[in-house]
Amino acid sequence: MSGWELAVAVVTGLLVNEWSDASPWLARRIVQWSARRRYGRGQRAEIRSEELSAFIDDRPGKLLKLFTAMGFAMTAILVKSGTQSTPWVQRLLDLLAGIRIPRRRSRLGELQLLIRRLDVGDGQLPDVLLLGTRELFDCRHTTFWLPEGGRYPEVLLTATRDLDGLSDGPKPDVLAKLRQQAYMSGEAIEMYRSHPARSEIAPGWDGEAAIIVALRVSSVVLGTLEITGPSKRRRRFSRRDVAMLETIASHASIAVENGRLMDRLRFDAYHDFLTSLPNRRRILSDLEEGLKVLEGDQTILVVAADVADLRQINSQLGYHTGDLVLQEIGNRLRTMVPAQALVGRVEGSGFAATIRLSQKDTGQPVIEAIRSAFKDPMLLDTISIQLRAGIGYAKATRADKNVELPLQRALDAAYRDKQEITNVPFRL
Amino acid sequence: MLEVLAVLLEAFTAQEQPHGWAIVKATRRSGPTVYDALDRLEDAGWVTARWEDPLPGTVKARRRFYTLTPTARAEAMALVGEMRQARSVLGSNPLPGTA
Repeated sequence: MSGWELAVAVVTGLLVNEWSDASPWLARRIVQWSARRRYGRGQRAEIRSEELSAFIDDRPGKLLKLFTAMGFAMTAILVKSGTQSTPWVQRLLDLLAGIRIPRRRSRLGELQLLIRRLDVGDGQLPDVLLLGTRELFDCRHTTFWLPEGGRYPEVLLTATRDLDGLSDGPKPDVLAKLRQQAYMSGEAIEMYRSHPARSEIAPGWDGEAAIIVALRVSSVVLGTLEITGPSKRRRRFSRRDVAMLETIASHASIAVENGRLMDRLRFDAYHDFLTSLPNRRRILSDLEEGLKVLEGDQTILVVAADVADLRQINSQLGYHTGDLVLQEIGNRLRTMVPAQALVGRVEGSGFAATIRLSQKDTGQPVIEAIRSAFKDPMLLDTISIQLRAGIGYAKATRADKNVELPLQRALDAAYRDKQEITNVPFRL
Repeated sequence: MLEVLAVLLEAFTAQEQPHGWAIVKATRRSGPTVYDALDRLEDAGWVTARWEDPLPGTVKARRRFYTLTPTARAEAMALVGEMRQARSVLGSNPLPGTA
């Protein structure tokens, strides 16, 4: 070994020794600097500096103390500058700090999980779909739109990053036109900064990349699902994102359709097909429930209307006209009977309304409303049909064990009333 | 924030006072996230903190212990309960203490 090699070895040994001795001191200085960098010069910087120094003191090994402090410094720089650290840097920092953060599942695994969760009751679908999709893409917004259709009102719901729960659509809603376009075409639409037709198709667009896909069951488009604002590390979504969103949308469409089917079945079970009013089953179950919650001397008034002349109308003008007459009566009763009463069609020519009464109530407004539904003639092309019905009523009390009986009493009274009316023959 | 609350709630029930880094480890969230949450909770009066009693004759830095205030406990329980319910529907990321 030559003289200078010996000198280098001695100096290196001294430096390493000195360096390892100086490491804890240096680590504390770095922690103090990190806290000041992160919190300025206030009291909180002092607090955090001592807290993190206590943590450094607990770390074994002089060099590990130094590396951990450097990890804090890096984090402080990244947080202060608002930069999102790349996953491997974050993992390294966590490793230095001794935290084992669970590794994320693959996106495909997450996608499969989300799809499995979509098979939930209809009421929970928007939450599961929007929160799950937003988490999967780590995007800023996820929006679900079902336009108004038949009995279903419009649904426009949005999940937003850092906000719990859902809100009523994005504000401002700059993608409304694009959403409409995706709905009409049934195709996926992408929006990004360098899009050639950006000012035409999305005026007022805020510059956040977006994908809108149609919710489609075979050829029927139900609505749209969209994601906007990719994660901070990316400028726009990828082709793979479009494919993944389309996969989610196809499963969500089936869930929406299944929900609507269940809803339809529930509706049909309790409503009259011709008038869409509650049917006999619904009126009776409502009456049964109502009797259970009666207080003191309350009763339930059952008012029945038995439509006259249906046989003559059917034979002279056809069954179709008879159906139109029943629908017209249904519509009149729906609008005229007070909202507190439940009105339905309980048999071929029989309608009934139920309302809860206290001792001083007579239920006269409901009886009068039903009478007035038959006051005006019904105009059908050039024919004017005078609608007639027998009206009867009965009271149901808590003593009624069989709820069919008060309804039957009211219908019988209406039938007797109808017999008197029909003494005057029906004429067009 | 809710993960931090969940850990503090568990600690409150067990009559323990975790220090900052113990909360970071229990939540498995990054340091800045947890400390930001603790700062906000402390500012809102939901959390109180106390310093570790220094060992006589040492210059060791002191740890800081965090406790949920009794008044915040009821609200924290409701919030954490809601979140656990929502997550059980979503089936993801269980909160600490639910395993």
